[in-house]
Amino acid sequence: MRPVRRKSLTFRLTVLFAAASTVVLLVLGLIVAESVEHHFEEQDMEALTGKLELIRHALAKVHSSKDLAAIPQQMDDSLIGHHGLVVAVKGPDGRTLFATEDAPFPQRLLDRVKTPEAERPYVWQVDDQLSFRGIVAEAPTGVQAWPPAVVAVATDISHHRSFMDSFMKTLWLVVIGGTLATGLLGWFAARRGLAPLREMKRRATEVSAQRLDQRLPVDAVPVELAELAESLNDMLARLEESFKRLSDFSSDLAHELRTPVSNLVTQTQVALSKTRSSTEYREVLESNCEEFERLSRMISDMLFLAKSENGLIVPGQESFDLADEVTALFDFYGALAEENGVTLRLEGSGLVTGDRLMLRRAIGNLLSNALRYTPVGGRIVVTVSVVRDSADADTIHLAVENTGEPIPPEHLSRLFDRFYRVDASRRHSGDGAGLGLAITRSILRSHGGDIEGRTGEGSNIFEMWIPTLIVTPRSTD
Amino acid sequence: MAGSRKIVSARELDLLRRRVTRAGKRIDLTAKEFALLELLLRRRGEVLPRSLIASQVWDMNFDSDTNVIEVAVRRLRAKIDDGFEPKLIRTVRGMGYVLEEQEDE
Repeated sequence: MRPVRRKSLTFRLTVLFAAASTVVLLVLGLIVAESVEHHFEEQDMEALTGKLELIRHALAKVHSSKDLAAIPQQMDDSLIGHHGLVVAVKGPDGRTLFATEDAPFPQRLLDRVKTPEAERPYVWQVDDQLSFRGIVAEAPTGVQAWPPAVVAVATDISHHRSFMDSFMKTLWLVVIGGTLATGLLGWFAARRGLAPLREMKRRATEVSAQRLDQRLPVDAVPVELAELAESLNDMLARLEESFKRLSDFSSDLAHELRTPVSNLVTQTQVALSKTRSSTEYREVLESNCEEFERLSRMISDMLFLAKSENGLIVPGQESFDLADEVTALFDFYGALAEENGVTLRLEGSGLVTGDRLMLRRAIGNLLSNALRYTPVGGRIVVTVSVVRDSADADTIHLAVENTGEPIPPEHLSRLFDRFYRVDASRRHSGDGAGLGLAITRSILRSHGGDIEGRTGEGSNIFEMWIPTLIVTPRSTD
Repeated sequence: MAGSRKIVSARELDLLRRRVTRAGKRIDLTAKEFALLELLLRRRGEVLPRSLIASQVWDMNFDSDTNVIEVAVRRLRAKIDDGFEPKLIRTVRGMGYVLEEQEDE
């Protein structure tokens, strides 16, 4: 089997152009032919009915056999100068009373005399060359007792015929020529019209992994293609974004791993450079162990993020009060907050449907982040609120506000990027790898929510929200 | 070392009333401090990593990058080890905490 070939757009347009013009030319030609033919027929009929009336009139004046005998002479006189006109008259006795020479009336025409079709033109051919159009009619004589005479008149229409023949021939030539011409012009038009498409194609071939910043020209293309170009550009932008994220991911990972690993190597090499006491070895091992633990935590966090960004993490659907989670977390962080001289406060509550452990982790990361940056004597306020979106959907908001120096706006939006630190040089020993907020955001996004940071009066606010379906709260006792 | 034996024995740890005595002295612990001590006691001699402590005592099943556990252990120590000998809770660097099994001597 042959593979189905996709036809080019140019080919399609060419064929359509040609077909359209063929149909138009053909219809136009046929209408003209029809009206010319009709005009000829009208002309003929006018002449024929005139002649018929004349003969009928003459026959009506016949009152005796003598009058009848004079008819042929009268006919001859009145037909002088009428070229191409043939006449036959059958007398009341049924015999031919008068006939022009070579009056080749076919029997079929004469048979129509008593039918309603008698007055309608009848066309026939003689010897494949001559064509006639004729009518037949009864013509009563002045003598009541006699049956009416039958008169047939016809005119030679051979010249009309040949005109129509050549007209049709010309018409066909025009149609064929027109089809070819419009096909050719259509092909040129289609190629010219589709030139922007080829330009787009050319630009598209230039896009590669190294050159994802290439964009299609939206202003230069026709309106119809602009939308396509725009969506392609959007697609490219998304691709570029994810590609960049992917390459950032691996370079971040490499970068974040390099320092601790090289520290580990150096430390171990120094320890091995000479014989040391078992206490010294122990110290090195302990220190290495701490570093390994940090690395392993970072790797599992990275894995969590990677899974979550690929949509592999499906949160559970449990209904619970966010305030309860915050209370549990306050219990956990309480001692630390007390040591740091920071007070914790919770306001409001709200039922949420989601993954309890994941959301606990998300809020926990926010709290530990807040604790890290709240100065002594500061305060962290967690506010839970519910916004009713529709009859059966709520959005739960949870804001963590901590006193402290406001984060510069240029950092706010990037805080949730992995490994992002406001102060690159500031790395407390207690700090994580800078993945906490990224994990929080990915947890919220997997719940269909999100998070953003903003600054208040001498404070920073991180507000997260989760859309949630309303569940009828269980009755409390 | 009768005193140290006493505290590691469950008799000194009144589980119901959450009361602890060491060397005859009453020690007041918060609920979480008590839970932490109970965990260390139940698994004495075993080094407990921070993540295990966080999950058993606070039901926090994620790694917190803060020193919450250090603070909690330090507070517990201040209550049960400060002013007493020998010290019961030992830090194993890089691993976690252990409540030492005291040898009878």
